Amino acid sequence: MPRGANVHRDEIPPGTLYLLILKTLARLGEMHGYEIANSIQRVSDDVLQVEEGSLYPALQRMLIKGWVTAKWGTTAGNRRARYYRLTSAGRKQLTLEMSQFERVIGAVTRVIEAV
Amino acid sequence: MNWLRELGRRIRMLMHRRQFDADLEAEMRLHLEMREQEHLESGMKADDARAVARRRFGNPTYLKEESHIAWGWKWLENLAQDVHYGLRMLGRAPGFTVVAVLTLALGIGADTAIFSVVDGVLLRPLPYQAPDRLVSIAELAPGHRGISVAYANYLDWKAQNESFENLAIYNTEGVVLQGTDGSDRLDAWIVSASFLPTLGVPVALGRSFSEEDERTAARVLVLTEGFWKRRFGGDPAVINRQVTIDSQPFTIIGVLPPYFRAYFGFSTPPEVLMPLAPQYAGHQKIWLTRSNHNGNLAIARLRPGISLERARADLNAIAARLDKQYPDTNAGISVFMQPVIDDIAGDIRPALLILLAAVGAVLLIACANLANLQIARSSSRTSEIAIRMALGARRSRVIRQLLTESVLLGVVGGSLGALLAKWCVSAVVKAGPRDLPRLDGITVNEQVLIFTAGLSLLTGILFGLIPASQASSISTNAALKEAGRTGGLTRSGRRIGNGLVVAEMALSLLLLISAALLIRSFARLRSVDPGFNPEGVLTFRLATPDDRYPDDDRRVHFYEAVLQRLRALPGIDFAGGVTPLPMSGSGWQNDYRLEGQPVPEDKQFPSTEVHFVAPDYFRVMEIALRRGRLLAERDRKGALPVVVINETAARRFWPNQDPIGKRIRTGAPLDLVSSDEKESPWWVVVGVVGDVHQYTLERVSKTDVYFSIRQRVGFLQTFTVRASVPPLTLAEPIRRAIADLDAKVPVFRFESMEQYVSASLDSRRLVLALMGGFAGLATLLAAVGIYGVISYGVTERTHEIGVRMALGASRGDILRMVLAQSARLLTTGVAIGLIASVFATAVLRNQLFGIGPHNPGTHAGVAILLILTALLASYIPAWRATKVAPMVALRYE
Repeated sequence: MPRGANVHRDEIPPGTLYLLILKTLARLGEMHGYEIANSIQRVSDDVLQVEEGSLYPALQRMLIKGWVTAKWGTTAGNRRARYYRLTSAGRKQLTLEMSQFERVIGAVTRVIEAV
Repeated sequence: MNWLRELGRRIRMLMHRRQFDADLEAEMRLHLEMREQEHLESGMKADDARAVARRRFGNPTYLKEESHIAWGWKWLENLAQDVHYGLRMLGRAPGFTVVAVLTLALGIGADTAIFSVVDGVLLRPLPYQAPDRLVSIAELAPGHRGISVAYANYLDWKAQNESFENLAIYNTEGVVLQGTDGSDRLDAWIVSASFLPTLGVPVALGRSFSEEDERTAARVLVLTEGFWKRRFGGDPAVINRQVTIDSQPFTIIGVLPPYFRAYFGFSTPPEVLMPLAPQYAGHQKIWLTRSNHNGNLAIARLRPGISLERARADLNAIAARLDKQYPDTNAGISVFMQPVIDDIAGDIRPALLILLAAVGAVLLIACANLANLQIARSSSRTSEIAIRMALGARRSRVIRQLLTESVLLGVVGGSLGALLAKWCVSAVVKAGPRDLPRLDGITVNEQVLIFTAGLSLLTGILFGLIPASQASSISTNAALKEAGRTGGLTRSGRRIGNGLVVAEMALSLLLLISAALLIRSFARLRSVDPGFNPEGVLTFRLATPDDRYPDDDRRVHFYEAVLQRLRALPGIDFAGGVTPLPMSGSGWQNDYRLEGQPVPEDKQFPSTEVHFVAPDYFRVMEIALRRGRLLAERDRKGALPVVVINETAARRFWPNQDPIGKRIRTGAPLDLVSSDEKESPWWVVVGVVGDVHQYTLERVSKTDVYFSIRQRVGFLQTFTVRASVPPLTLAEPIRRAIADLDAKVPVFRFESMEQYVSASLDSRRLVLALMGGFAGLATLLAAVGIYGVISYGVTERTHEIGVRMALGASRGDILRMVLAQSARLLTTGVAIGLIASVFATAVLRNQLFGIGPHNPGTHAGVAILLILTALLASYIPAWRATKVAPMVALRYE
């Protein structure tokens, strides 16, 4: 595939990866890593691009925090995959991260508009 | 609680980390494959599809690592890896490992052993309630180190003090427990009712002495657990049982707990506690005589918040009032008070601390040695380390790896050392040196093991840190370039190695000098003439029950019968007896007044040692007669009161005069001008005998006055016989002979006089043996150290030596060259050691006898010995250097 054909993709702003994963899982329920990556891309119209692999360390951290749980299942293509699901702690975290995110974005917007 | 659940998850991950890794791997692979599939389906070529999928994914190894780190167990895995790697490296160098482990086991073991003694004797709290508030009290009279407490003074202290929660007085006495099946002789402590409450020790069974018992002078008895088990088989029904002690009925009221030990006060621990009240009730007049310091000691519990100084000032204020009130008896008397732990361990503390320092020095030397070995070893590992660093290992990671290795050695050596210490400590406890208090408390316990564990880790770090930072400071580039050649030490590595050897030499010299000074002191002490001949003398004691021997006359009569029987026994040349026995730790003193001397204005009479003997005592002990005659059969009641004095007394009492025929008065009252013969006769000196060391070999004789038991006191503490056969074989015949006379008289404590003399040197012998051992160990380690450094230097210089020899250097030149290198290190070390000894050996001053801490002969001799040993150690590699064949050496590159 010729590389030039790609639309320009932006790196995810640091720290928002959790938010994106949490939001995705909240919207769509149980998913495995590949689906999460695809979903983030699709929803953001291919603008936001995760370095796909970095999902996994993030998911590990979220497992430690107890925001998500994981369990092995089979995909539609009958392959074994690990499915992640939001916990109630994860839902709380999502609300928290959302409000934080909005506060920051709001502030940034105000700064930009003031110029 | 969130963090707790989080920790739970982390731990679960640690338990299943294989599964974890596999899961992550599977998950990532799935992701890559699905992405690849997607690209294939959109028409990419297989190779491109894979490449793009990988690019979008990122570095899987890095990501796995990241996921791993997220769980927070990286450090543990690193450690496990380091340990695993370290063990492998150590396994690959078995020679080094064995030497290192043994060195550390010896060093740490010795430290642990000494620390267990220090812990058991000095550090562990005494088994009393709040022991730091307990103080022991005696009285101080001018010119004495401390005298016992007059009961009347104690009563005043008790009534007037404001410092003590509780104050008790106690004494010791041998009593006879009469049973239907024979008599037992017991060591009893005679105590006030406040004794156990002061210590804060409850009884385990029955009840303690009460104030009511004290008031009514009730004859009651509290047993120690040991005696209760031994005599009554641990029968709980002994409470309220009646027993007969010294012909008096006593009721057993209580049993002490098993942990009760009387470590303070008298050297013979009690088997039973008896109340003081009945004795006091029977002899009030004597007990209330303020000049009668009859062996009582006092112990008190400070009120919370009251300092020792304040309490001392308080009692001294009372003593000053008594001084004014009773100038005849209390003039100049003040109070001696110290923490009870000082009473117990004060004498041995300096020696123990010196040993602890010495053993610490040994461990330091061991560390220096191992550090040196590590430096030499790491130089051969230079390229390994360089490669690891080139591959991206950080310096701290390399240091950690090397440190893990040395800490591993420390831990293994420490564990072995702990075993060694356990063995040593039980040997010391079994040897049971007389002057080491609280022996039963000396064990390798948990506290000691914690100390050992800490020490092992610290040791590992100590000897590992320098080599590790040395090794990791290499320049990767240079090291890799040199990798093909034989690894050599860096210049700073060599300097550190030399410095360590110099330090080892200096420390060893200090230890050797200390040991040599102690050995010379001991030898001088052994060659001290005690003034008697202990060889072939057997001693024993017997106790005469008061009911059959109620007064001096009947007792003396019985003693004479015993002595007659003894003389008749085969193997006995002379039989006598004395109160108190030299070297037994007890002594009696009396004030005295010489005829013709005025009564001192303040009534402060000087005091002298007094002894009461059965006449043949001097012959038994072979105490030399210098002038006049010995005490004899004819010196008995009613005859002229006579005494024999020692040479010191003759010199002090009547300088430059003939003492024979001079008269002396001892015992109260001394100031009677009209001589009331009954109270205190004038004693005529009839003979002068040689000086005898009454207490220890160290302490010179004081003035001694000997009385015959036929004329005064009428009590023999110890029988002495001179045997022509091995003394202890006489014990049974003597026992039988006395049983023949009176089967109800207990005969006990058979000990040869040599045992007493030897026991007086026990703790000195222990300190000496330990210090000598440590010094020997230190020297050995230092010799190994210098051997290592020189021998490594020779290996390193093989090439140079080869060149020199090719250029015509003789074997002698090479030998000289190598030895000169070692001599430089040696002399530097020895010089530093000698300078340090000026300060260091001063702490030994009180442990020495007949020699000062700075003895040029000893210092020089020891220094030469050390230099010779070290030269010998370096001669071996030097000699090997001369065997280098030039061609081989040159090809060696």
